[in-house]
Formats: sequence, structure tokens, C-alpha cells
Amino acid sequence: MIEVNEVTKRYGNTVAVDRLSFVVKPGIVTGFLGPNGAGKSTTMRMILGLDHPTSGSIKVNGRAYRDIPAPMREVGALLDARAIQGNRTARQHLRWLAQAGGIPTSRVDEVLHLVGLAEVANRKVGGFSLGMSQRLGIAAALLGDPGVLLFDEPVNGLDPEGIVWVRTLFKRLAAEGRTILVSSHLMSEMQETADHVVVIGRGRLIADMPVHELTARASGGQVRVTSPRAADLKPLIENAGGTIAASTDGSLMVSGLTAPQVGEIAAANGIVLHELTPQRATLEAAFMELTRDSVEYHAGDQAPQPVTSNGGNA
Amino acid sequence: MTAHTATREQVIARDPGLSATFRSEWTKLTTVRTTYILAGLGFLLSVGMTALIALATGTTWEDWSETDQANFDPVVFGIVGSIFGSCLFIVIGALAFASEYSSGMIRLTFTATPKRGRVLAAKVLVIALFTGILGTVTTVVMYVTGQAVLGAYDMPTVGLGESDALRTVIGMSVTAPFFPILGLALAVLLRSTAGSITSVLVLYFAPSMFGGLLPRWWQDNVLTWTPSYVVDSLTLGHVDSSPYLDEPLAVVGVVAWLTIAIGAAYLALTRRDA
Repeated sequence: MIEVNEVTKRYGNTVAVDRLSFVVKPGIVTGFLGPNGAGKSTTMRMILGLDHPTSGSIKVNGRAYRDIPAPMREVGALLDARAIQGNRTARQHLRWLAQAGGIPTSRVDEVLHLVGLAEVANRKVGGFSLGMSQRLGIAAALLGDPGVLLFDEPVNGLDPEGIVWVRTLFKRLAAEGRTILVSSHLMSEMQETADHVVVIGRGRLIADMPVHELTARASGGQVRVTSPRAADLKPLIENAGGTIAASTDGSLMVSGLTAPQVGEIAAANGIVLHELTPQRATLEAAFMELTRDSVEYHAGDQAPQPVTSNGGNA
Repeated sequence: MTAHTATREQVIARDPGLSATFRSEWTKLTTVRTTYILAGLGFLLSVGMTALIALATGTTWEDWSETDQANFDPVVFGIVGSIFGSCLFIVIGALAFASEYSSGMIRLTFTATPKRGRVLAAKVLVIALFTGILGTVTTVVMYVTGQAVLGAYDMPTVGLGESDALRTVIGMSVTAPFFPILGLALAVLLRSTAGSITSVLVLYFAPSMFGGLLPRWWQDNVLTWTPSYVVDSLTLGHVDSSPYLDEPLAVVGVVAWLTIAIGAAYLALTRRDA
């Protein structure tokens, strides 16, 4: 469990994180999304006690990170896979880390095996590809078998097979009851991986809700209707309070009415439908729609009203 | 949390403590080739240059004037090459922190050990132990080699067991970690490899290079308190004629410099973002 409470981080006059609050719960994968410079990495560094918040507080399992007696056994993190010294072998790198965390060094070979680096364990990490470095970073995060895991852009540089592996790994770790926070700018990837998303822009919270709710909301409740009598259907929809967002021959994009409502109107008037599809936006489209607003905000403007889920997960 | 989600019992593990951080830092130091290159090169340079200078002295000895021959001190000539090796041992100290800042690995270090004072303590102890052992071996071999070369030319020598030699050799061994620790602290303050190495070497060389240009009062009262002079007061004060502090004051000087350097590094580490 990670609790970020009213956290602000200023660097001089720049506000990197602005009164940000959210909770990351165990048992699910939480995606942490935002455009570049939104404050994702800064927030992750503050969770780990590396950067000090200007105001506000962050608790991991109920305590500040620096007050956790054996942090590597409770929290694992991958921040920047390249930020390691290249002149050690993968095994040597994990060995000092295990020793620092009070973790038996026998665990080193276990995690190397787990991430698929066992065969290159004695190679200098400076020669690793970005994908291999990411795997090493994930191995480092898993060393202490922690219940809370943070990954900053973990799929960068991974090949398709690696991406599928990471996705499966995160889901398995979450299913084991762990708290997983994964930042990414790859929305399509998050759509496959995350159960819940926290979206920030310019350091402010934009959305905090389950992925399916976010994508449903962003679609604006549009319905695609295809009918050989589209021209006849159009006025009927408009009379019922719907608006036609777009129309191509035979196909209408309806907003303001649900798919069942459109279907009932058609049936009542004996109009044959060939297609009736509620539109579900991709996470990417939802994200663009949300962050477009935040990008338009300038210093001194009103803060955007965060969109939060009003369900049982609050 | 939904009903079917697994719950995970969080076991509160014990704090691994300073000894874990020390082991970790020792592993870091001893798993990079740079450490061995600097240590090996430093050892060879110290011993080699001492032997070479002794050799040059021996071959020209007959041309020395009576006064020069009378003023000749075999102890000083037994450690004269140490300056070359010391530079490299100092770099080992500075790199212990600087290399982590330049690679960004410092964040991983502080994630594993969020108590930053403990990381600093572990690094100071690791560098002290490593350069202490390295300095002792180097000093003894260098001294014995130097005396052997001088002896071969039938020049005056002072055996390792004699009190003048003992003070110098033991003093240099014990104080070998002094400058590497200053380098380590400067690396924290400057967070730069080039900056920290340059500044600690300036601290090491500048006083003895330019101190002689200072007025007498400054030499006696200010120069003697610079880092290299407080150390030399302990190791060479009994054989060399330069202005030096009395031994108790020199000990105070060494402790003061270490306290200032480590204290400043501690404050910087704990207050700044990593």
C-alpha cells in the first residue's frame, strides 16, 4: 500500500508535483500515466525517499520509506535501468545490492534465473542492451521478494517477447497480493497490463479510476449505428434527444443516447440495423482527451478538477 | 480489494545494520578493475620511484659535498616515492562516491539503504581499511627497497626497526587513509569525478608546492595546519626541517580535518535530494 498525501515538489520556481494525492492498493496493477515531464519520476523518487517533498507526506505500508527497517524486503524499485556502473558483472551488481539489503546472496542466482539473465550472469552490465538492463533492474527490484513494487517505464527497450513476459510477470505479482505501481507513456501497454490508472499532468492529478471506467468515460458514450435506412433514422434519433456526431453513408455516430435506446427507436419504427456498437475509446484516446486539457493550463490558472472514480475503490 | 485477491502477509524484517552496508560497500570496491589498477600502479610507482631516486643518489653520492652528505637523511629517502602512489590511492577514495554520482547508481544505493549517514560511514570505513592495508604494505616495501638500494652503494641506511624509521613507516601506514577520505568527502560535496579528484589533489600538493613562498609567520601558523602538513608533522616532523606542528597539535589537526570533511559530507547527503 502506497499513500501519497497532498504532495508538492518545487524546484526553484518550477512546480514539478502539485498537491498530488492518490493511493496504490495491493492485489492489482496500477498504471501511472502522464505526458513527459508530468512528474511521474519525481513522484516515484519521493515515494522512495530519494527526493524530499516540499510539502505533504508519503507513506509506504504506513511509514515513511526511510523509517522502514529493511526496505528491500518491503519495497522493490526499478527507476532507471541504465543508472548502474557498467564495469561489474550482473551477478556482482546484484551481490552488493543483496548484501546492502541484508538478503542472502543465494537469492542473486534465483532472480537472475527468474528474469532470464542466468546465462549472462558473468558478463559486464555495461555491454547489456537496454532490454537486458531492464531485466536486470527488475531482478534487482525482486531481490528482497518485496510486497510493494515500483517500476518506472519498465518496458522501454524490451522486445515484443519481453513485453509479454513483463505483462505476465506484473499480473502474477499482483495476483500474489502485491502492490504494483508501473509508470509508462505507452498507453496501449497499460491497457493490457493495468487494472487501475492514476493519470497526472503538470504534476496534478487528472484521473484515478479503473481502466475500463476511464476508457468508457472518454468515449463520451458514443454509439455507432449502421443501417440501410440511415437517412430515415437520423431525424428519429434527433427527436429522441440524440445528436449525430458524424455520418457517412449508411453509418451514424450517435451521442446522447445509449445503444439500447437507439435499438428501441429503430425497432419501434421498423428500421433494420446492420450494426449497433457502443464505442469504447482506447486508453490512448482517453489519455489524450484528458491530458489535452491539462496541457492547456498555464501557471496561475485554475487547477483542473480531478476526475475520480465514485465507486467502491475510493 | 476484491474477495478473490490473494492477501500477502508482510513480514517485518529486521534492519540489516551497518555491517550489511559495510559488506556491500566492500563488494562494490573490490569488484571493479579500476580499484586494482589504481592500487597496483600506486604500489609500483611508490616502490619504483623510491628505488630510482635512491639509485640516482647512490650513483652520484661521491660527487656530493661534505655538508650535503652530512645532511643526508636515509629515512626521508626511504619514502620519497610515496607521493606518486598516494595520488592514485586518493583517487580510489574519491571514486568511491564520485563514480556512483556519475553513473546515477547512488539512487539504487540510497533505495537499498535510506539511512544515508550509514552509507557514508560504511564507505569511510571501507576506504580506511582498504587504503590502510594498501598504504602499510606499500610503505614497508618501499622503505625496505629504498634502504636496500642505498645500502648497495655503501651509503648510510636506517633499518626498519630503528625508532626514526618506525615513526615514519607506522605514521605513513596509519595516515594513509587520510587523503582518500578527504577525497571521498569532496566527491559527496561536488558530486563530480573530475571536480573531486582535482580538488583533493590540489589540497594534497598546493600547500607544499607554494607554502615556501609565504611569509615566515604564515608558514609557521597557517601552512602547518593544512592537511598535508598536519600529516607530515606526524610522519616526518622528527627528521625533516620544514615548519611542523608538535605531535599533539598534529593529531588535533588530523582529527579536525576529518571531522570537517565527513561532517560536511553528512550534512550535504542528508539534506539534498539524491
